Amino acid sequence: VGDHRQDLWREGRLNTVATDVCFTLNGRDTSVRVDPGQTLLDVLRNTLGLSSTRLGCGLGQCGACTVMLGESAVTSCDTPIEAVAGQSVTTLEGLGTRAAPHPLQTAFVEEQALQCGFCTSGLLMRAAALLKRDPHPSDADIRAALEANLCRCGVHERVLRAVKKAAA
Amino acid sequence: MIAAPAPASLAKFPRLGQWLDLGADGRVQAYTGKVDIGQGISHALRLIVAEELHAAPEQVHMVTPGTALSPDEGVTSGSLSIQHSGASLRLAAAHLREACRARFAVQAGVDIEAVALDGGVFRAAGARATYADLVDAEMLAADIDAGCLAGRGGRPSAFGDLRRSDIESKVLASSSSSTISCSRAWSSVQYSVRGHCRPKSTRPRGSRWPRSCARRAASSKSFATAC
Repeated sequence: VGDHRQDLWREGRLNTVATDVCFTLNGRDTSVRVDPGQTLLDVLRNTLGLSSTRLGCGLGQCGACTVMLGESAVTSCDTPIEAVAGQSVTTLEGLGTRAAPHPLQTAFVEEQALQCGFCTSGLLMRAAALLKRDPHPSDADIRAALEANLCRCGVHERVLRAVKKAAA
Repeated sequence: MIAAPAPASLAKFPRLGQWLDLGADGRVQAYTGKVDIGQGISHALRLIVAEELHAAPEQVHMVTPGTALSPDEGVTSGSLSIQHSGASLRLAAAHLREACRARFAVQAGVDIEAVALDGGVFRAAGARATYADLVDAEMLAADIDAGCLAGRGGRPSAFGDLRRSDIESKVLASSSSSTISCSRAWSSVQYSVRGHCRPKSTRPRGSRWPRSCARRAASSKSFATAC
C-alpha cells in the first residue's frame, strides 16, 4: 500500500466494495465487476481487454479515449463506469470488421489518414457519432465536430478528407 | 553525381555492410538505428532503399533495430530519422547498386553503360543477375562512396503514394504485433490510475497540471485551424 492509496483512504475515497455494472458493449450484453470510481476507459482496457481506446490526457480534453455512448461521442477517461449502466457503448472494435468495415474505416485506409495512429480510434468514433447525427455534414460541421480531438502528428487534412469521403 | 554533406550517421558507420547486406531469403536487408514506434519510419526507409536499388519495396527487408546489429543513431524522434538514417541508407543503396552494376558488367563482359537495371534485375547481352547473385562479403567491407548517388533529374519518387501496410490494422482495431506491444506498454502505465475516481492521480503528487495547458495544446493543433 503506497502513500497515495493511504491518502485516498484518509479522504474517504477508497472503497473496497465491488459492484456489477451491466451495459451493452458493441452489441453484446456485458456484465462486469468494477471497483467504485473506475472509469469506462479503465474497464474497457484493463478489465475487458479492448485496447483500441486510448488514454491520452486523462482529463477529457484530447479526445483519444472517445467512444460512443448511445449515439453520442463521449470521452471514456472521465466517464464513471456507473454512468453507462443500462446503456449501449460502442468502441472501435464494434465499429466495423475487416470483412465489413465501416465507411469511415475504408476512407481512413484509402486516405492513409494517420501517422502514428494513437488518436485514430477516438477520431473514428467522434466522426461515427457525427455521421449518425448528420449523414452529410458540411466541411465546417466536420471541423467543428473533430475540434474535440487532438492529433500531434498533423494529419488533419487527411482526416478531413477521409470523413468527407465516408459521408459522400 | 550530386554533392551533399555526408550524414553524421555515415561518418560514424562508414562501411557498406553496416547498413546493407543480404538476407537468407535473397532480399536486401537494411539496417537502421531509427525505431519504428508506429510512426511508419520503416516504410519510409524501405522506399528510399528500394528507390535507389531500382527494386520493388518487397525486395527490401528493414531489420528491426537491435544493439548488436544496427548503427547507433541516437534517439528516434521527429523528422530527423529521414535526414539521418534516410540520407545514409540512400547513399549506401546507391553504392551497392553501382558496385553490383560494375561486377555484373565484368561477369557479362560488357561496358558498364550497357547494363540495364529494372525491378532489382541486372541485364546485358542476354545475361541476368539479381542483387543476391552479385553481393558478397568483400563488396560489403568497402567504405561507402557518396559519389555513387545519381540525381533523380526531376523525376518524382517511384513509390511516393504506396500505402503503408500497418494502417489497416490500426483503423480496423485488429491485432498485430505492433498493436499488442503498444497495449502492453499502456496497460502498465494505466495500472497506476486504476481504481481512482479521477485520472488526475496520473500527475506526480504535488505537481500542478492546469486545465489551461490542455486548452493551449488544443488551440495550437486543431481541426478548426488546419489549412
